[in-house]
Amino acid sequence: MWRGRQHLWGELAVWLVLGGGAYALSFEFDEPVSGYRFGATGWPRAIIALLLIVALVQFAIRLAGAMRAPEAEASPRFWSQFFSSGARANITVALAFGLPVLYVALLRGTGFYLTTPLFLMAYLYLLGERRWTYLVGVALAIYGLMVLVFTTLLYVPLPVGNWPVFYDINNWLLEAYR
Amino acid sequence: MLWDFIHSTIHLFTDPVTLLIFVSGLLGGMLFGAVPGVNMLTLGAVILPFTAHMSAENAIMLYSVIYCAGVFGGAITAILFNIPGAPENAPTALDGYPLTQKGQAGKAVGAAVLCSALGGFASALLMIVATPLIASWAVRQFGPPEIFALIFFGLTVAASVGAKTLWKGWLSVLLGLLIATVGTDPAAGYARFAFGSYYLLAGISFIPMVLGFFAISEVFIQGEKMVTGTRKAPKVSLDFPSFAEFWRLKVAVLRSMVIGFFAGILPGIGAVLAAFMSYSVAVRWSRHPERFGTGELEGVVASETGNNAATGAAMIPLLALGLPGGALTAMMLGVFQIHGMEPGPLIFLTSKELVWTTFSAMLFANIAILGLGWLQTKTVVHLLAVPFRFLSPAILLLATIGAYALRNLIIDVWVMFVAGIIGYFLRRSGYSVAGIVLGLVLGDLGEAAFVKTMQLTGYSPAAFLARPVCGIMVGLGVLTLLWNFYAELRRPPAAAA
Repeated sequence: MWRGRQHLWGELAVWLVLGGGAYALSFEFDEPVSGYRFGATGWPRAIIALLLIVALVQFAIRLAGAMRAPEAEASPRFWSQFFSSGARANITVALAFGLPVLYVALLRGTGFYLTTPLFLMAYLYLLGERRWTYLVGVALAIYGLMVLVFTTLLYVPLPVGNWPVFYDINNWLLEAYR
Repeated sequence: MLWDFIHSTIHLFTDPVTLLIFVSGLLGGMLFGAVPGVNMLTLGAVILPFTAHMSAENAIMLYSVIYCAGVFGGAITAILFNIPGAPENAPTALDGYPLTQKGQAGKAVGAAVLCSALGGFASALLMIVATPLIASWAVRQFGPPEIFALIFFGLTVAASVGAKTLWKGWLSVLLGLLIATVGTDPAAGYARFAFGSYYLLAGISFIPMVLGFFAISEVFIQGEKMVTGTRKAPKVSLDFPSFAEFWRLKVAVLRSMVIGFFAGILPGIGAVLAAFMSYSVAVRWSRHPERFGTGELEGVVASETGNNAATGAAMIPLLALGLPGGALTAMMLGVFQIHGMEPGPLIFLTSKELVWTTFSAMLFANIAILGLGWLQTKTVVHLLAVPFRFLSPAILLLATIGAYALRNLIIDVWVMFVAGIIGYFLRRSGYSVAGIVLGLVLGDLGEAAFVKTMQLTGYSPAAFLARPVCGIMVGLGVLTLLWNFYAELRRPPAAAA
């Protein structure tokens, strides 16, 4: 029953953890509200209960279906594809997720104006662009367009960083663009 | 009435200042509507102080034109790149983007242009004819119980849209509803799931979630396909839908006009719910509901007709009763105050010229959308010819700036990326990001309506169902629910996986 159907148990576990966790957290605001019988927890707990019920019904139906027709509930193509792809491809996919996250993490410290061109070049490289003229040219074109629209024309206050040297450079660039 | 209309139209096109303001509002609304993060509300907020230097007629006219053009503008990026320019364009992306991937971007954009213009035009006409009558009827008939019943019906339909199975659809909607509970409760203002964070007390911001679930998750999915070599580039097409194709969708257009119009009248409902409701009802009444979410032109038609039909209607309670239905109409109320005026029934007598200039401008703004939209179809679609490895960092950056520019908070960008990563896994597992977004939109509104309903009806289901509109809506919701369960249980196991 377990073998080959781990994704069913995995999906159920995710919903149970989410619902159970939210239910446990709801005790933090379980206060009576004057003039409203169900209190602050009534609505979220009703949603949590429905979520858990639907997750269990889904699991039961899919498990029953898998027992009747095992091929119907084989591991979904997404996961089998993921595990059958080469290690290199999986690392690249992971980097495609990780690079934007790293960019956002750095934004507060290193600022938008300095970090963005480097991020754009790195992302283009990750997606397969190897010609350095395109790497630099496309990154600068995107960067220039965004700066023109959001900084020069719309005056959107994009982050200038809070690390000393980066803060100064970003502010200098900002002055230059405006 | 006709003379008033002719007089205001002549004034609109002969007075250079009025015409300049009209054209600026049109272009500004379309531009701001199309760029995520800086939507028509941003534009409205930026120009609000400057309206003090305009005449009241021109200032209100400017906002009404921005409203029409802004609601349309977001459809283009939703269709081409899966980035809804504004929340009301989110359902447009559900079928518009798959149409782009099938090489029918021109057809999708063309349908959006035509339907936006039609929906807006019809709404403006109705607004002209029936403002005082409809406003008083709708506001008397629709209290919190009716709004709650309407939302219940909307959710039952939404759960069947976009997900691989009904259960996944419901789990998506319930996840959206659960996320919407983060913040403060509507009855007493207690903090819920806020973890002591000041940011979370205001609830999770909607726009970063929409950008994450739609744009970021799409960039991840397409990026993965590029890395694994399985991505097929969409073909560029410039064909408008043919008359025959469009004629087949006449019922969907008319139905969405009606839904959009009534959703627009109701304070707090507005164009977002109009678009989602129109889309959901189109799925409900379609002979091929399974085609929705995979590139069905009717999905684009329903959503764009619905959201634009709400624009004219939203002016009705504002002008006739002084009740703003959404953020932009609330800004218009601010414009009235800046000019020392008070909207309400008397405005039709005291400021006749203002009312008719607004009516005329909205009507012609929708006609102008048709022309400008046609031009956009012939030009913007060529962006698809740009290789995706060049587009994807631009989309990522645009979405990042859009999320940040909303409140100048990095945490909004984090919310967007977390939503993007969750959206990626949910979409790959057959869940519906549209369901999550709809749950998120309706969650706050639904709970607030539920609390007031319980207090009004004394916690009595009988008193609730005794109200005719509530009874009909709940009945339709229950029927939809039962039918969907029946259909789901009849599906073969392979399809239900």
